[in-house]
This record gives sequence, structure tokens and C-alpha cells, in this order.
Amino acid sequence: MSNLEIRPTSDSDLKAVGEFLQANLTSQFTVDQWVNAFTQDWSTTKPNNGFMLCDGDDIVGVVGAIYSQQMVDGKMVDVCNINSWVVKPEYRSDSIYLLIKTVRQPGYHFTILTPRDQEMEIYRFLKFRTIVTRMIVTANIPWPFASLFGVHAVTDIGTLQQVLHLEDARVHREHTSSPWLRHMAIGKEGAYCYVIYQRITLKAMPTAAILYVSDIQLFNRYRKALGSALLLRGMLFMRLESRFKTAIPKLSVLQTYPTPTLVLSDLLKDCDVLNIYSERAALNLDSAK
Amino acid sequence: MSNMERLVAIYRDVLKKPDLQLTPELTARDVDSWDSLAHVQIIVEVEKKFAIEFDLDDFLTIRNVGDFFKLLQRYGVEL
Repeated sequence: MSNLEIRPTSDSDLKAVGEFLQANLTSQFTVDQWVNAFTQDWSTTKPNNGFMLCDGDDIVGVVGAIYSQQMVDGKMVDVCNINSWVVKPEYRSDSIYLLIKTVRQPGYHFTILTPRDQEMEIYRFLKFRTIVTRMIVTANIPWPFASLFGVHAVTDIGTLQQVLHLEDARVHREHTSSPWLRHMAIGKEGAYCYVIYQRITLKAMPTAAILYVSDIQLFNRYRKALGSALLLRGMLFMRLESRFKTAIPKLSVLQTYPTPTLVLSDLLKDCDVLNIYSERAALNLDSAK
Repeated sequence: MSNMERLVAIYRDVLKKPDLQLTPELTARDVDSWDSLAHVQIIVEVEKKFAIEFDLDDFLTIRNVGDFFKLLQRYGVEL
């Protein structure tokens, strides 16, 4: 490893990293899309964008890191989402150092949302905890009584900023630049549940994949109204992860989650690991399928 | 079985190379089956067999088998 060196990925390295990821991980995203994924405005203290394994001037391996500041139990915490770990075959034996370098950064809570099966033993060695979660898929049924109960669905950007609480309004502002994410507040004045979702296709059916729910109690209270509002927008089903502790409606279908969710933190509970501060929101992953 | 013999057995078993000769200069890149997963498996096996727990930072300085032997000696393993 005499010429090998691990370097933090700075903003000026991102174009080269994007080219590397496009060539070695997936060609389904452009270099600009990779660059945008790592330049989200989700943290004021971002130390890097991950790390690069370099052989001289050549990048031979990369691990991506997306940093964010998130409110957990009333306190702002620093979270590092690890993604896009890839190393050229001839340097595979050194790839573990990229991960070690990343998780040794003090003060961060670490999440991995798209691990590959063959990497799981390595993550376990690094003390990551696996979160068990399933998909709850529910049919959206018309519910014409929403307005009778004074329940409204708000989707207009300007109005959303007015009805959302301070923290939800911040989350909303931080995600308006990703056009594949859709936003809705459902509820009544002073008690809106903010939902971020993505329109996907599930068994050829248009479905709302819920990525974020601001308040699970309000979500359960207004679930029928939400389903009805989604149906009006052409989505026949809604899909949510069971780890968010939502109530499971009678006619739901439970599906196995395609990839495990991993966390390295003594603070974050299962429901605190947020999809919206990861590659799942920074990249349009469902468009790549 | 000496500590060195136990170490050699771990490397041969994990790397599936029954005739592997351990030398201080040997690196992962000299053995085709020695990837990151094998690296971790060697470390986990050594931790189990010698009842020690490494600090992750230790690994950032390891470049070859000789470096790993020195690390083991720092943890009190006689070689």
C-alpha cells in the first residue's frame, strides 16, 4: 500500500468522484447527479463528502458520506449517512480502511440504508445494528368526510411553509430541490402531519412510498384522509415502513423490506433513522430501477 | 500449538490457502482471496482465539502481516 492514501473527499473532488462512481458503481446517474447528491444543504458542519482511496493521483475507491443535522428527542444531532462504497477489484483488500476512516469521525451517528448482502459481515464487525423493518402496503380508499371534519390536504409550497411547525418547515425547505420528492401536510390548523413521499410503481400500480412522517400519532389520526388525498392524485396504494410504529390497517399487506437498514449510534432509535437525509432522497433511486 | 501456529492456521483457513506461508512482508494484495471481508474475518478470528478486542484505529496503520504481528504483540500476544 506504499502509494495508497486515504483522503477526505472535498467539494472540489466531487466531479472526479462522480466519474468514478459512474464508471465503477452504476451508470444510471450522471456525474452531475452524483455531485448534487453530495452537495445537499443538510448540515452546516459537513467535514467532507466521504473518503477516497487514492493510488498516486488516481482514485481507486470511494465511500460516500451525506451529512445532516436532525432533531432527535428535541436535540439537534449530527448524522452521517454512508453510501456508495466501491473499490476497484485489485484494491479490495484495502477497502475496509475507507469505512474505518469514516466511522472513526467523532460526534456523528452513522446510518447505512442501502447495504449489499456481501458487506453485512463487515458492517457487523464495525458494530452496526440491523434494524428489522417491513413494508406495510395499504390500499387508498376514498374518504369523502375529510372536509366535514375540517381536515385538509396541503401541497402548495407557500402554504406548506405557513402551516408547518418550525422544524417541519425546515425539513420541507431542505427537500424542495429534489423534484422526485412530493410533499403534503394533512390535518387541521395547528395539527398538521407532514409527509414526504415518492410516486413509485408497485406491481404496475401507482403507489405513494412514504419516506417521512413528521408525527406518527397525527399520521394515524388522518390516515384515511391522507389515503383519500393520495388517491385523488392517482396513487392507488401507500407504502410505509413498520419501524415508524404506525398502526397497521386491517386490509394491509406486509412485505419484506428489500435491504436491511443499519445504524451505528447509541442514541438513534429505529424510527429515528430517516430516509430523507440519505441517498434515498438525494438520488432518485426509484427512477434507476 | 504455539501462537504463531494458531495465527498461520487462521490465515490459511480464512483465505482458503492450506499452503500459505506467512512472512512479515506479505500483504493482502499478494493473495487473490484476501479481500475486505477476509480481512475482517481474520481479525474477528484472531480476536476470538486470543481473547482480545482491537481498536479500529489500530488497523489504519497496518500495511502487511509484520505490522499485524507487531500490533498483536502490543496487545500482549507473544509471538
